[in-house]
Amino acid sequence: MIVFSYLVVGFFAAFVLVNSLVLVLAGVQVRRYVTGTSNSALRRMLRSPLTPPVSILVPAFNESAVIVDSVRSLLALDYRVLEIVVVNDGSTDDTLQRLIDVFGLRAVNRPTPPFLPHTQVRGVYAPDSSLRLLVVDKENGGGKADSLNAAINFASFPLFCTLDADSILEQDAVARAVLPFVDDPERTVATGGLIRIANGCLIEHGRVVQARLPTSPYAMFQVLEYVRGFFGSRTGWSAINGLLIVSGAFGVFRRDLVIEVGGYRTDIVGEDLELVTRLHRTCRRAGRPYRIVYVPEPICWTEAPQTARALRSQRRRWYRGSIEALLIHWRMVGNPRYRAAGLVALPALLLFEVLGPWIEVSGYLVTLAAFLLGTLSATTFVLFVAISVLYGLILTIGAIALEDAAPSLYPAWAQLRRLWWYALIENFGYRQLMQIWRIGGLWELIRKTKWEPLERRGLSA
Amino acid sequence: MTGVLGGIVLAMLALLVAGGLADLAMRFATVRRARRERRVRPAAEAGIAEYLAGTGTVRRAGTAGERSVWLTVAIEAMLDLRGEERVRLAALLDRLGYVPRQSILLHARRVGVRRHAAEVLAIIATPAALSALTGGLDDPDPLVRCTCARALAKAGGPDGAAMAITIAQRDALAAPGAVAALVLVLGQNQPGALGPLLGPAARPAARLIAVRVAGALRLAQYAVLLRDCLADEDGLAAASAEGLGAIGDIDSVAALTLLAGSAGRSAPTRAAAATALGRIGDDSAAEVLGGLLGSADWALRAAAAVALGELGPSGAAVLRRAVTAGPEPGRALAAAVLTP
Repeated sequence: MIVFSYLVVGFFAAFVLVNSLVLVLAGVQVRRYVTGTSNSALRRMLRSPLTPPVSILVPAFNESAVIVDSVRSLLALDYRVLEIVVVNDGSTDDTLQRLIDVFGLRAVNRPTPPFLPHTQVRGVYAPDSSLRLLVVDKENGGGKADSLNAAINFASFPLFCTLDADSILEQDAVARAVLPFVDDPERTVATGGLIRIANGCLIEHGRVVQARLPTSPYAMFQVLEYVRGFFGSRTGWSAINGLLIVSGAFGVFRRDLVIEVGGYRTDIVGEDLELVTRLHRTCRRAGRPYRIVYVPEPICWTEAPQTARALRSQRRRWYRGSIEALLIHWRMVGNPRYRAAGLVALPALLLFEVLGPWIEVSGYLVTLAAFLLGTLSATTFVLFVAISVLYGLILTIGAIALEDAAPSLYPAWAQLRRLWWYALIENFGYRQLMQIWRIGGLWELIRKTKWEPLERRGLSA
Repeated sequence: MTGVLGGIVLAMLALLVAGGLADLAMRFATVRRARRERRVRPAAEAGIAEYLAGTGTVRRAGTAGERSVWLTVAIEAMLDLRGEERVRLAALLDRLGYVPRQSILLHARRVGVRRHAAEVLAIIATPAALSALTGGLDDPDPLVRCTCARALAKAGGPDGAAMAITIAQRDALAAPGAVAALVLVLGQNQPGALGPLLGPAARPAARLIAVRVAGALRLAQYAVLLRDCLADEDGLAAASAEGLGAIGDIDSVAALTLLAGSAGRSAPTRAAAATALGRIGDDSAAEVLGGLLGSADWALRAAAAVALGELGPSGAAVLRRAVTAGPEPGRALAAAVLTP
């Protein structure tokens, strides 16, 4: 019991220390970004013939309802030279036919480049017009990673941007995410951008015209998690080049390097986390100067799961993905050769993301048991709970403050009130539920359960 | 135990209150800024439009916040304006005192403020602004130095070009993106001044940037210097090949053919040479490109096939031969290029 108490206290102290430092680093980084990025630099970049062209990769499985609007909005993005590569991953609906009909595509003879492995390509389609759109129709590969590998093979530009088929990008999101590649072309290997929850927003013709907070409590809690995860965490990790995840929903990568490291792994569920970790490992081993950057502004809107079932499935997948990445790259954990990624970021992933749910849940149970058995006084019990809740609140309010400095997408006072209210109540039930659900991911990993795509309700108005 | 825990709770409460107040302050500032912007922006836009149309006069805005919004609107307009209107708006900003203010900020302690001031002065670019920017060439921050040098290079004159070259050489490693913007402006406005950055005496990082700029701007007068780079390391050779292809330099065909066929060079470099040969379109490259269809590297084979497709009848003949009797790996690519 005493040993366990020390374990929990030690875990909590490490959690407080690391997360507080990351939050401070995030603050420095946000300030640097806000004062260092000018619209004129962005416009200069968009006019410059030196700006690298970008291939936007869109994996699509049964996306008939949204694919046409998505491609249309991507073709209208503010960027100098773009191509869109849609991969139809063996859809059973009319995703492919919709693309063929709307964009006037015809089958073209395009041999499949062999750089990365993926399932058999059934056909390649391109428009007769000068539209930079390529649609690759392939056998179902069982996941996004397989489609992305196919899309990377067919992409023709030095940078690629990964998206979900139902993601909505701000007009200048790609340009802002590419800016670090323009500023430092030799060292920048990947950039991740800010992802926001689109539930509740006003959406017209594939564009978010008004950012609003969602009405669903589950989505509202996730808004806070995203604010904390992106502003309070990823921004800080990026400051010390320890960013381990560039979300598959929106990230820009150097194509040659991703091909060099072997692309996305198709046998795991956390392919985005694993790829970025592999990029760290490869670059450090080769002694190549590199940086993986999180840009706290490019905005990609995505639909958050709104039902308990969908949310549980997502959290289990994330948890399983973290374990898989750690199992693959366990030699990097605590290894000084990999600098911030090996010394801090991966140990933090192991401690807080993988072991954290177990320690936290057992901490709740033991504390409760001790209280019920009378070995813990009511005052001490209340103080323990207060510390846990207060620290969660401090992290969340700190992240909201950084979001406000960025500047905020939710500027109304009423929105701030709602954010604060949910920051408080998430500590009483939601947080604990998430940890319990995450633990279930281990069971899925052991059973090698096939992950089911998220159930989405659609965003368009 | 309870006392320690109580102390921690109190400390955390204090931290939470401080964080909450900081958030409120941030939010208050954001809301205030947004309100001010909503109030001042329409008037500023209308004022600038009337001034440019010659139907109104503009007075200096009242508070510092209002002046800030006014300057933002004016700078946004200047990015879109050209010719006489741009000159008039720049002169207006100068007259309203924005240039002296930004000139002071160019020497501020915070680097973010200096960078912003340099950017604003570079866009205004009146004689007074350019004079102030000269003082920023010695700034400790490479981005400020590059912005100042870019504005001076754009303004023209041998001094500006010489300064731009010095700064490009100095900062090419520390701020490659800013140096690329600087060299691009130099290439666009004083192409004749780019030479020193393209020669073997230039620092490798600066030379690579200059080669990319010369290629992107298709500066044919530097084809000879780009050709010299083909014998250099792979990255520089590939960038030079790309540039020579963009220029369409027929005299480079022999050197590019040699590079494309050189087994000792990296596949991407050879592929860049093959692509350049296709863009130049000289028949004499057809046989070498045909040989590359049997290469072990897919990207090189693909570049050769596409280049052959661009050569016209001579390339098509080689592709047809490859489809019927060529090495196995290149057949599918050759057939794909031949398919209409």
